[in-house]
This record gives sequence, structure tokens and C-alpha cells, in this order.
Amino acid sequence: MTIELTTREELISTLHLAAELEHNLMCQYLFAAYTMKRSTSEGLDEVQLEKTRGWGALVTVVARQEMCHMGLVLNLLSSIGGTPYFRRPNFPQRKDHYGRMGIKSELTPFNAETIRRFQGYEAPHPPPGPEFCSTRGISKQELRAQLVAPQVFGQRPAATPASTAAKTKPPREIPFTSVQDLYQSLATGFVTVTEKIGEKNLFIGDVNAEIWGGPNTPYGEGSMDDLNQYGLDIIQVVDLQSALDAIVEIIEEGEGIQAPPDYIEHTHYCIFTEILKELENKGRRFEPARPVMRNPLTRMHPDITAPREVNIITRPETREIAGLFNLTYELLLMMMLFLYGGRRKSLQQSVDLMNAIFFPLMTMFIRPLSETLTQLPAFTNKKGNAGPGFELSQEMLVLPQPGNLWSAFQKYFDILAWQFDHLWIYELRPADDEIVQRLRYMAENMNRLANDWRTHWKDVGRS
Amino acid sequence: MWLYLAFEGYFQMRMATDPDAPDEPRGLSGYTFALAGEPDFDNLLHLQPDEEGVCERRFGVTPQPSDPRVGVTVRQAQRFDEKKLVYKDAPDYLGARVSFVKAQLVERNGIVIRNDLFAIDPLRVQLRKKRGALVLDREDFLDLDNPELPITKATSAMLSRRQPQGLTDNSVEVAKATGLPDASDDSCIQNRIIRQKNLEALLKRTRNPVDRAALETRISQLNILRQWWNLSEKGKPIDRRAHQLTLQGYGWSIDINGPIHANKIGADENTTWPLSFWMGGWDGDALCAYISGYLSIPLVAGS
Repeated sequence: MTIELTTREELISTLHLAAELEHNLMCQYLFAAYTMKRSTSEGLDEVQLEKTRGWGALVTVVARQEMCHMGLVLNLLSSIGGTPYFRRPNFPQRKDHYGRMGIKSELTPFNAETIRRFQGYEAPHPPPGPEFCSTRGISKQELRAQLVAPQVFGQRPAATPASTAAKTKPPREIPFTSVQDLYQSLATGFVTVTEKIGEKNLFIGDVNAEIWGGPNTPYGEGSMDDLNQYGLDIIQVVDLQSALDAIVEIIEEGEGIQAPPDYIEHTHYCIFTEILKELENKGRRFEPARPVMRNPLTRMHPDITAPREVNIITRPETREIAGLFNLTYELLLMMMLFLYGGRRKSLQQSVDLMNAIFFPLMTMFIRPLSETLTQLPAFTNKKGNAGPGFELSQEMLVLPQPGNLWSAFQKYFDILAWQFDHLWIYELRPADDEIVQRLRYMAENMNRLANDWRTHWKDVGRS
Repeated sequence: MWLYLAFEGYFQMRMATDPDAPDEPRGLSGYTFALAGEPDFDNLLHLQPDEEGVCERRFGVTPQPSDPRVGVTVRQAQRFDEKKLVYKDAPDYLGARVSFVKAQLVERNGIVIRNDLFAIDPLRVQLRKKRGALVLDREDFLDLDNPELPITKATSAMLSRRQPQGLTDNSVEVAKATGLPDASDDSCIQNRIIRQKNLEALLKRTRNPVDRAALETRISQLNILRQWWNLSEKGKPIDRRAHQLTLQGYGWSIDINGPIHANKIGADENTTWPLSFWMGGWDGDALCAYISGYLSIPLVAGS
């Protein structure tokens, strides 16, 4: 069911929901990927380890593309004058939290049940037949015939007005029935509002607030010019055509709607379908994930609607590292908020932010901390490992005054560096313990990052 | 008097590629992996095949002369008399083996170095005669006043000293050194297609399930030669798995400054020894790349 969006405000509020969903799914996918076993010492033989790594690699590609989708949604928001949106409720939430979209917000380890849930998130609607993911060699016409052709770019379907639909959909008044439905409604909405008020009047946003990669990016320094090497494709949105291109890309990569036939196997839906098939068919059963608890959090948050599904981490040294993860994640989101916030910063400041966020914070801290947590016991009195809770402790996405912003980030870096240097686990385990060594490596890196931020990267090497 | 040694050859570096972190032991989200049956990555530059940690792979049913095989040796050696301005061949050094002991290429995903202009660290150069006798061994320090300084505390000037000057795409010099017909993207892609076919042939003859799992991963990685995910750019740009076959990091130039642990050739110990090289032709399937460079040794009178 496509929902009719007829005003800028409806587009913006729907894009907020889209940003929240992409953020939410990304966290779920990352959590599952980081629970996977990474060594034969964890009870896998060499062949099982190779298979497990293959699945993990695929899930991380999908998670990266969710980051890309979130980036596209933020560009769509910026293009029409919206502000960046990084809010989302803490995990876990009841299944009806997103209305009839059927998105259960929870953090669960990699297993068949989890992958089936992910497959559901990315499924085209109506659900396609089993041949959908093996369409290599099938003509484009045949492929299209298998799909309900999305009609947003030609004749538009009869749509339900957003205001009417909203009244009938408690509790959050989300009228959409699937992620695909949401994006198709957005595409239709962009066409409708453009027709109504004119392209020039709709696309009034600050293009400098957008972040995109590829050969013509202004952010050449910082690997943005070859962003595509990492499975990402983030475009700039400046008009109706580019807005539709961005939405089509999201749907093509996710559900596979309108994707070229030779792309279908790479869609998120088909990746999850294939993993599930392998998980269910594998000859000798084995457990690819660590014994990680569902929704391991440092504390209960007031916005959680499924409190019984929470596992509070009680082991002090693990809890400390989980807190460190949450603080790093909070810093990352604050920096992203300012990066996408557009105004009052120079191109160099944008590059500085990207240089801190995209590689260092994401790859050198968020991921290794996550993987470390899934190796550590969560409790003092029972079995089960912890994991990254992606906790948002408050309505924290309020930025300080621009003049104080750089020093506010410095404060975060300094606190993180201090905490990394003084973890309790260093006293509990020998210095040559694998986890201790990995944390010490992160500590070195956080200290370097904190110093570089202070000196405005004066000590970074030639680039 | 100087001794000029021109060296080249393939080296191995078993390391994860970004967005994996450099301490990632087996590879997950990049495109290089410690495969089934192989030990974890050690991140070290192995210039000699007999170094601990080298793990050479098979590239097909029958080895080919063009296969990357680890071994960096002196290919040209000359003495230069700076007073008489005369060069004279020094055949004793032909085939001598060059090693960079425990060296790594460091960037830490943008924390120490940006944009893939990797710094080499630590740096300790050894030269062994063809039959293995150690004749030269010298270390280089980031900071002579503080030999223990870790690279995470190095200044920009210290880092720059250990970095290349830049990167060249589609380097003809690299293509020539590694035997590609030319430096075009098409040649890189063709090379990977041939490698994949050779591995498929090897897979057909392989029964051991561990070896098969490793080969299957390599073959599937070689399917990714163009960016299938790039929906916005027409024509699908070349992927780094193929492109890096002709990528060159050029202009490493380091005057080796530290203590000398071996000197059997009468090298002048009171001055620095210039070392310059380029690295390129990274073959992510083999975990090997090519290095070509010069080591210039000032000699004391009469040696």
C-alpha cells in the first residue's frame, strides 16, 4: 500500500522514519556479524571457519550498505531543507513499534532465526517466488514480470493519503506496511510535491550539507574519492531525478526491486536468502556464533518497550568495556550530526570530521570493541557473553554551540583515551592475553586520535 | 667509494585490507584472508621465502614462470669510484638476498597515515650473500634521540621520512616488472580471469576439503573484478582486487641512520646509507607485491 505524501513536512517526517530504520537495521546486522566465531580455537574446524567467515563478510557488506542508505536518506533530507536525523529508540522494542512493517528491534546473535528475521526486513512485497534470487540469465522483462512493478516513476497507483492512513495505525501511527512501501511512497511523494510546488521550491536545501563519494566529490582527501571500493555508492541529491536515483538505489540494493538481473543475487534479500539456505542445509551442524546473549545492555532505558528481553551486563569489567563502546558510539553520532548539519563549518572541517569518523572510529574502535564484547562473559552468576548494545543514554543528539563544538569533541576523545588506558580488565588478565592486547592496541590508537584532534592533525603523515 | 646494489623481486605481506582493522587476524570485511589451513596474518614484509611466516599459495595445477614467488635479490651491483668517476661491476653481490627484518606497512586505517601512503616501520635492512652469509645489517630509527619511540607518537616529519612520495595508477613500471602486457585496466582484469581459471582447474583436482574451502574463497573473490554494487556510475569501474596489480607506491627514500649490527664489506659506519625503492603490483590473491630499489653503501677507503 503506497501512502500519499503531499507536503514537504510529510516527506521530511517520512525521511526521519527511513533514517531511523536504516540506523536500526544497521545496528542489528552489525551485532549479528560481530557475534560470529573467528578462530578454530572457538570450536570450529578449518572448513567451518571458512564458511563462517564467508557469512560474516556478507552480513558486514549488507550492514555497510545500510550505512550507505542512511547517508542517502540524510542527503535526501538535506536536499529539501530537512535536518539530519540520528534518533532511534534503544533496543529491544516490541514488534508493533513500527506498526505493520513487522520490524522487530532487537540485537541477536547470528543464527538461522536471526537471518530469517533479516530476510523478512529486506523482502520485496508481495513476497517473490523461490526463483527470484536465481535470476542470472533471465531477461529483464521476465524478471519484471515476477515483481509488482513499482509505479512511482510512471503511472502512480491509487494511494492512501498520509493523514487518513495515520489515523488507523496505532500505536506509532506508521502507515507503511514494509520498508519497500515506505520508499515507494517517498518516491511518489517527491514526484507529487515537485509537481505541486515546483522543483526549485522543493529542493531548497544546502547542498554543502550533503556528503557523497566518487570521482567528483569535494571531499577527495580522506578516501571519499574512492568510496566505491568499499561497496558503497553515495550520491548527491540536488533535484527530482537525483532524489529518485537515490531512492531507487536503496530499493535496488535492498529488496531488489527494479535491480538489473545480474544484480539480484547481490541484493540484501537474496544474500540473506542464500545464507539461510546454507544454514538450514549444511551437512554437519555447527554453531557459527559465540554464545552471546540477546540485547546485552549496561542498563534499562526508559524508552525500551520490551524490557523482559533485556539482558543487563553484570560482570564489572565487561560492563566497563560496554560503557566504553557506548561512549564511542555516542561520539560518532555527535560528529555525524555536525558533519551532516551543514552550516558553519569549512570544507576542511568536514574533511577532518570524516577523517575521524569513517575509518578510525568505525573500523578501529566500534568494530573491535564489539568483537571484544562478544568474547567476554556478560554475567557474574550465569553463562552467556556480552555484545555491543548501541545504547543511547539520553536525548544526546543536541550539539553544543558551534564555538565550543571542537573542544567538546576533544573532551570526548580525552575521556575515551583515559578510559582505554585504565580498564579494569588489565588487572584481571595477563598482559599477553589476546583481549588485553587488542584493547591496548585500541588505547594506543585512541591516544593518537585525541592528540591529533588537539593539534588539528599536524602530526599526521604525508597525504 | 660506493657500492650500489639494485634489488628487486616479489615479497609477501599477509595482512588484512580495509575496512578491516590492521590487527584483524584473518580478514573479514576487506578482500584478503588467512584461508582455511593457513596461519593468522602476521602483517610482516617477507622478502625471502625461507623467513618464518611465509605461506606461499598455489596458483594452478602447474607452476608458471609468471607466478609471484617470494624472493628479493640483487640484480645489479657496481662499485663507483667517485674520484676517478668510474663504475665497475661487483659480481660477488649478484643474487645477494635483501631482507627488511620484521617490517610492516603501517597506516592504522587513517589514524597514523592517510590515503594509503603507508609508512614502513620498523626498518632494519639486512643483506646476505647468495649462500646465506650475513654481510650487512643496519637499523633505522624514527627518532635517533629516542630509539624506542612508537610510530603512534611520531611527528609528521618522522612519518614522512618513511612514506612514499605518492601513488601512481596504471604504472607502466610495475606492469613491466611483473610481466603484465601493459598497464591498462583490461590487462589487470584479464590477469585475474586467467588466475581464476587456473584456480578452478586446481580445484577440480583437489580432494582435501580444507584446501577446497580455501580455493573456493579465492575463486569467489576473483569474481569481483568490477564494482557490481556501483549502480550510479555507468560501465562499472574496475575493483581494487584487479586495479592494484598496477598501482605503485613510489619514492620511498630513507637514509638509514641507526646502529650497525653487521658490516663485512667495509661500509662507512659514520654516515647514513641511502635506501630507495618503490612497491607495487599488489596481488591480493597471492598476498604478494613487487619491490624494486637501490641500496647505496658508502665504503671506507681500501675496502
